Amino acid sequence: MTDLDALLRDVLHRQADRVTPSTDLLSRVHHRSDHLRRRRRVTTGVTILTAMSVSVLVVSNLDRAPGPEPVPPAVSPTVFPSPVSSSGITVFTESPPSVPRTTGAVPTDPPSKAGITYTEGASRNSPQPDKRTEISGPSPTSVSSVSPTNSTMTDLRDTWSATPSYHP
Amino acid sequence: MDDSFDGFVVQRGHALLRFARLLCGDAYLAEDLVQEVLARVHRRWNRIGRMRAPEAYLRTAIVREYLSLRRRKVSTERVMAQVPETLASSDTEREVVLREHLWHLLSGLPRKQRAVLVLRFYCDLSDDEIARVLGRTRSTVRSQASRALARLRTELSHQKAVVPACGPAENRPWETECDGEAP
Repeated sequence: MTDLDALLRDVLHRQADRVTPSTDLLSRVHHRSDHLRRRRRVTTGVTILTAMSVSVLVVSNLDRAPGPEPVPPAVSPTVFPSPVSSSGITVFTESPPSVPRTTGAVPTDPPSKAGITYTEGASRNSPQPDKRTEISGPSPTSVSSVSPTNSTMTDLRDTWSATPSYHP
Repeated sequence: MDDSFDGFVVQRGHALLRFARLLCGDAYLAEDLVQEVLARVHRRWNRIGRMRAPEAYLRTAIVREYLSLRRRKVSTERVMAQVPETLASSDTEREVVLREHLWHLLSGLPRKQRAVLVLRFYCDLSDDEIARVLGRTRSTVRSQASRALARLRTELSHQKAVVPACGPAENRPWETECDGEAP
């Protein structure tokens, strides 16, 4: 242990003695210090410019942006008259008042006839590609020639006319 | 400010170079290290120059700069097919070879272990002072030193077994075994 310590001490001092003195250490240090100072100034300038340009962009975007949208008045929930049930068919005695379309959960279209309720997927506005498989025989363009027998078929025709043309 | 700084660099620059050379094992890297640290402290020399021991501050800065180097120079570890110590024939030559080998072993140590050894055996710092310089705890310093010394001891024991291979005949008892004669 002691031998190794002494040997290490000796080796380190001998190696340190081998270092030749640098003649131009001071000038090199000054040169490097000037370089560091210049680089620091450039970095500071670039940082300030970037911060200013970003702040100008943010302020101009805030000025251009429209004001806050007016909050729509709160819609009071529509109270339907209680349906009168007779012989298992739900019948509305009077058509319910129109409901704004913005309320998605409430049925938007009133029933075309009393006693017929819309099933999900049979609305006029939503295309129903799966219904096409139920019609067999004539091409979709000939649907219009078929006289509708009930409101469901009328809705289907409207749906077909609303869908893009079908090219088998 | 510049006069004071210049005077310090002229007086103590060489000592800092020696210290950095022991740390990194490479003269060019040592000079680069010292220049970098001196250039950084040049701007704040008004404050650093008034310290009680500015050289200790600079040594600490050099050690930390050395430990923060991202890449270790591959050239610090030298792989040799034929080790030079096999040419040693006398005790003096073996001593020289042993020192050179120890220096190469130091170069192969991890940076923290090497820094601990240099600070302990070259700067004669205590473990507490080394811990302060490195920014570590005292127990970490002790464990690093212990590991480094154990590694050096292991390598040197192997080295001592190899060096006498070409030494005097009395140090090579196995040669007679190889010749088939009884020792």
